[in-house]
Amino acid sequence: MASNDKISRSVALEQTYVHDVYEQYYDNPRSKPWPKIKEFLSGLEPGSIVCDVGCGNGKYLKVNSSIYNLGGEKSIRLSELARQTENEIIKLDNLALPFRDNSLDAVLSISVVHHLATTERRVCALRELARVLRVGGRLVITVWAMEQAHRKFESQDILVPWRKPIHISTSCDLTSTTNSEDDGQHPYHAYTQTSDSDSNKSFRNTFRKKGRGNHHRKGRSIDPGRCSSPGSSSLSSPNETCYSFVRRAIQKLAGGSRRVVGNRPWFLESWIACTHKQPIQKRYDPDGCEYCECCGYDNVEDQPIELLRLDDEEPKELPRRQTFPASQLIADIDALKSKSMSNINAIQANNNNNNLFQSCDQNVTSHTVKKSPEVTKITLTKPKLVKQKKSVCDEDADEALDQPTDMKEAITKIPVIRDSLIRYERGGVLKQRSLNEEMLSTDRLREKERLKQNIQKQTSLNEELIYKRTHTFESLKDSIFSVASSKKLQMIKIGLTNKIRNSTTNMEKVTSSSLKNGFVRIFQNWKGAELLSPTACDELIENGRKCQKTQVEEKEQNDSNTTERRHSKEDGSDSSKDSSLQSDTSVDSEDSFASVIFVPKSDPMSPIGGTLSAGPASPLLKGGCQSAPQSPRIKQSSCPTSPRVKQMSIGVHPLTKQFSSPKPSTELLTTTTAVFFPTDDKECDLKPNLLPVQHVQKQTKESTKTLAQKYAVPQIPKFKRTSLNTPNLKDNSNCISTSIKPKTNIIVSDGNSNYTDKQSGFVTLQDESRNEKLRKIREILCQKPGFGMKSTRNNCPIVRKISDSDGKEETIAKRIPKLLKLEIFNPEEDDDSDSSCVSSPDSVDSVVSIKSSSKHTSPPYSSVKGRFYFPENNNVNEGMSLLEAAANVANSLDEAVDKVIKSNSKCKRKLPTGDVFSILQRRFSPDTMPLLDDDGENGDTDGSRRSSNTWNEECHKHLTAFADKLSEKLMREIDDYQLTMDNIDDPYIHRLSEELHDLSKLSAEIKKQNEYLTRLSQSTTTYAQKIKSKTCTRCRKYPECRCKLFSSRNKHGKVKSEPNNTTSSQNTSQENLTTQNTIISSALTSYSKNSTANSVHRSENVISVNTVKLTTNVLANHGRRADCFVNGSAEGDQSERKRDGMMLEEEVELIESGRDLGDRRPLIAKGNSTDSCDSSEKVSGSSSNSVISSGATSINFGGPSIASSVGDLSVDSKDSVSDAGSTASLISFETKTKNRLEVMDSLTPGHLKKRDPSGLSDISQDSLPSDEIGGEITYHRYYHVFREGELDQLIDKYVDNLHIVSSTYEHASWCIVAEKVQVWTI
Amino acid sequence: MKLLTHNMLTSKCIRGVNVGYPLSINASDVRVADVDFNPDFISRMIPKIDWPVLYNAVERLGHVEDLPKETPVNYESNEDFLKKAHHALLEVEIIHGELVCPESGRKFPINNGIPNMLLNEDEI
Repeated sequence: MASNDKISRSVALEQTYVHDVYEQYYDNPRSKPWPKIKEFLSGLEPGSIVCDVGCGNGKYLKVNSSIYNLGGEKSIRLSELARQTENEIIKLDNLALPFRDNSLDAVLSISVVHHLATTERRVCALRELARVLRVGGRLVITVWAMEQAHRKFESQDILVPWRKPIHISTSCDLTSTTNSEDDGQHPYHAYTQTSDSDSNKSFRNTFRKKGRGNHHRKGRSIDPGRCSSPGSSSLSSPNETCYSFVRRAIQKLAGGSRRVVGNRPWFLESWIACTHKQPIQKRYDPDGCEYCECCGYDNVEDQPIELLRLDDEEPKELPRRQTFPASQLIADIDALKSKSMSNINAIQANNNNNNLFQSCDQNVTSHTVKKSPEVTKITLTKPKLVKQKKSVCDEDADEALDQPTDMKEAITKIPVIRDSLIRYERGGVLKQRSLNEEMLSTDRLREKERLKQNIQKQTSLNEELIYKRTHTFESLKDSIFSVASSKKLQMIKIGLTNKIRNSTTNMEKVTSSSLKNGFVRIFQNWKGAELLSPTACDELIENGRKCQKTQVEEKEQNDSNTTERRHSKEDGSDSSKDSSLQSDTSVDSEDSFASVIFVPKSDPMSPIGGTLSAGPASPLLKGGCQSAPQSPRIKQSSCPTSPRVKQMSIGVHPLTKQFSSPKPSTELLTTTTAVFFPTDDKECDLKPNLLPVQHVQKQTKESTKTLAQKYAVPQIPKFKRTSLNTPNLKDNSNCISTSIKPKTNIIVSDGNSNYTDKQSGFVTLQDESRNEKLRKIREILCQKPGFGMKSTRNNCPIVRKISDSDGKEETIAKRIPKLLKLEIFNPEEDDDSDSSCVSSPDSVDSVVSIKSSSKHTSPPYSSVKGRFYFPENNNVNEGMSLLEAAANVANSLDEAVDKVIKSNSKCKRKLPTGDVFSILQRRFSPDTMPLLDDDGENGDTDGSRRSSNTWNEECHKHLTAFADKLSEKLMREIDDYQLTMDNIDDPYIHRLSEELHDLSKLSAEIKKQNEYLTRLSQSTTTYAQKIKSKTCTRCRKYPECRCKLFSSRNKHGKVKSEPNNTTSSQNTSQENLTTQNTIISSALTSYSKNSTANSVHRSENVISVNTVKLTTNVLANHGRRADCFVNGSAEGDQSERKRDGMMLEEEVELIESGRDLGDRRPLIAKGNSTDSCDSSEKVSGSSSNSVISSGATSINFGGPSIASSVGDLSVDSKDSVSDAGSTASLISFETKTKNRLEVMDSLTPGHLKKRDPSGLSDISQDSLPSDEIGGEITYHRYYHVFREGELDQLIDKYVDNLHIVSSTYEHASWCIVAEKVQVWTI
Repeated sequence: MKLLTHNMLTSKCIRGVNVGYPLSINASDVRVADVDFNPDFISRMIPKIDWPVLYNAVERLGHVEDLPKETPVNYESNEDFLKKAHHALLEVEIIHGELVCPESGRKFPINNGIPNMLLNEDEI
């Protein structure tokens, strides 16, 4: 059996990675006969019959006309191509040569044997070659050498990417490979890698990077001439294509089990890391490949994917499998992916290390810096994965919460993976492992406990709130929620158990049922309450529309369902609360998913307290993000891991929408999603909503100690507002209804009005968990009452402004509740982070997870950045003149960015990116300022100084500490970015996008923080203390990061957590207001992250596409991305700018890229126009100049403009308007992200087909950019690179009748000339 | 496919086939092309080929023309023979048709002058 499997695998592998690829192979016209072979052929006596087995295009068939040249080729296309030149071609297989024995005078086997997957097959091929050769005849064999001057392979079995120029369709059938993948013992990691490929773009990139890096190292040193023409841009694109290829393989193998999505963050991280390594890739010279190609394969521009052997990784897989009892297959896949990831990471690390040590002409420091961010990213992602695993376990079994050990195991498992990485990156990896493990274990335990507590508390709170508020709807809610939620939960459970695919179908069903239920509910709501009725009608209409939508629309339907649910919930606010409570309780006990969902909600709210629950949820979200860089993916992934996703969604509203539909927790999600949706449709509304929320929070702070009560009270008013707004919303919804999103938004708005109670319930739940924190916060608040007042005041004006803006005011009010909900969640997180230092990592993770969910590609970075921003903001808040300081910081950042750009000699091309980086750095300014000092030290330092001056001394100290830490990180990031810019590789883009995201988040956070700061000025001292503590922790974390890449990643996470803690502390002090702000900011950040992630992915895709070839799809994607970015306002602008910068670089490098840029620009302009409209609306609603400026800046692509906008925002942040603007921007981002998600969803279904909705969306996104967008498809050819003497040994040992005449190393290949001898057997 | 190539082909790789030679030809499209005559090349090629198989193939295709059934003794100096052999070996091409394994009857299609000698995995 094993032998058969092995044979079948090898056959499948060869078919997929050799034969199918060569069917698509474009022979490089440059390819010329290898001189040595040419000499050999010329030396043959006339009349010799020579067969070139594997003749390719027949370039060796015309060398010597005095001999009879037979060309043997298995590829139909190549054989026909060779036949066109009047060559005698035979389609044959080296393993079964159709020649008589001893019939040929010479045989050529040029670059053929290394395509055979097993030693047996290689031997068989050699024997066949010897058989047909006459005695005395000579055989020339060339195989790719493992020991190459230009590249070094970690494994002998590698997949070498080859990009096909314009072909969109890949002919490779991975089904065969899937079998091999299933077997953990496969000799070829290629299978696993391929399976992982869905989320492995980063892997492949890393592989490529490795190979390239190695090649560059050796190649440059040894053969600089050869390295002269490595198309870095082209290289980057192949990576993506490879990624898509892997995805395809994985998809085929997994058959839609996309749970792996959670793993994507790893890939992303690794991808990022790869990006860091990209410079090496550029350096890399495909010469070796080319030479090999000279023998038959040309244009191996892409770095090879090394197929690492599974044996090392297998143990790792096992633990994961254990963690995932329900879906072992998926777990296996994940494990495989993780392995591959680990391998990739290791490779990357190696590459990074090598790069660093090698100290290439390029920025060595930048490499190091890049490495550190990568490490941080990796660490972040790893915890996420662990959390995800935990969440999965929880989902699978309700006991998951009770089983922290599983999580620990998962953590330990993760470390194992890390160990593999460590092999390559030993020192840092080990440290990181320990840190991560500890952090994860502690976080998970805490999170679990907290989740349990929170769930209980939430349930009680929700019940109380619901009953208090409205009794009429309770019956309806109970019926609806019980039925829908139970059904949904059941469906979700089934789906999870059945696998992602089933879950997706179930999800759809659930959504349909939920829609129906929602209609019923809506009607009931109508009966129950008039205010609700209009919204219900709208909801019903919307639901009907949604129901009509197709699968692609299914996502939207899910959203609508969620909205419907929301509506129903809203209609029966009490019932909704009850349902939410029920769902919470039921989820906890009955459906682990539901419980998870609730927990996540609480988690996002309170990373520390809810870290346990949030931890799993966050991992899921992270995983979703990782797996699906784009938000859509997260949504899809959420379906399988819906509970998690929902939790995540809470943080990331767009995600929550999708998730919400499938599960009962959807209520919360729906609420959050609803908030987001409204924000999408009407940013202005969101702003007003936020304001009311703040008011509510203020009220809650003032009125009742129990957060639940507070929330309930504020929520009610919000509901009223929403109800009042409902008519407007209806109108808006009608207008918007044209677009599904708008519909959902409207629904959401309605749902907000109706669901406000529900939301309040959710909030209350969260509040319950938060109450403890809140108590602390209350104490702080007592000290800092002014903060709440300030925030409320600011919010109130915003609301008024919104009211001024026609019907938008109403919508805004409606949306406000949503924001409030979101905000509430965030505060919990903040509280949690504040509560425990240990929780900080957890909180960071949770935060990251939330953010990551939104930011699929760069969750860690974004989260980290966001966190950083928060801390900074908090710090600023602490200082009375925090706003001013922030403004100063922003200015300084802008200056620093400018300086950096200027300083960055890497030119105008890089300038945009440099600007972006600098902007990002500026945004990070407090911490980043010092870092900037390093790069453009003056500007950054100045900004930091300025900010510090404004701030209180304590604040200054804390800020300085943070700034130092942040600056270090920023410096690293900047260096990485610069390097990336230089390289112009995808990783750079990713980084840039991440940075942009972070910057945008930071800006938004800063704005919020500024407001808070103004409010919190009184409580600066307390904050200062907190900040100090945080800074200390950060400082600690930072050094660790420096120590090792992984550690750095962990540190980043820690740092993020620390900021979060600071923010949380500030929030606690500010209480509800701060919490709300933080929540909003988190939500915004999550959205922005999502958008950024999407943008990043898109950017990556675009880059790859550009590198590969410009395609309309890519342009469209860019446009979409651009739109998203534009919508993102400043953040979006930054991302866009980064992209633009990338594009500019690409343009300079590649004309095609320039074309793409041009196309993208128009698209961006379109997006800007649309976005600008949105932003204008938002601005009108907010009536904040800052917002407008931000929008204008956002419209403007200039990096400095972004910084300026940030600065403006920060300055304006003092005013409530600024907050509104930021919120609006955030909302716009969210809306953009939503739109993107929708687009992605729409795109994904086709690609993914019948897979899990969440996974599908993610996958589709991933696949879309590569497949749809990217005109070029990267094919991977399998190579078995031969070690020195390996082929000789094979011949000597297994082919008796061949006598090796000469064995030489040429052109990265082993060239053996053997003569057939007569073997006398006695 | 030239008849010289056919002279080398066998189907012995098929499982259960011992010799698989010569492959019978079922040609639907035979083309005669002009190829530069190289007497040295042909004279060197004659001993490498199975002349009866070639003759049967030529006969099968109807291009025997005066090709002797057996190679003359001093063919190296027999330019006329070499030209005939040249014509049979290099100028007669099977564009479309099929090769049939004499033992298993397995058919190998010839398309565009390219014989497809690929076997399925289960045939090896």
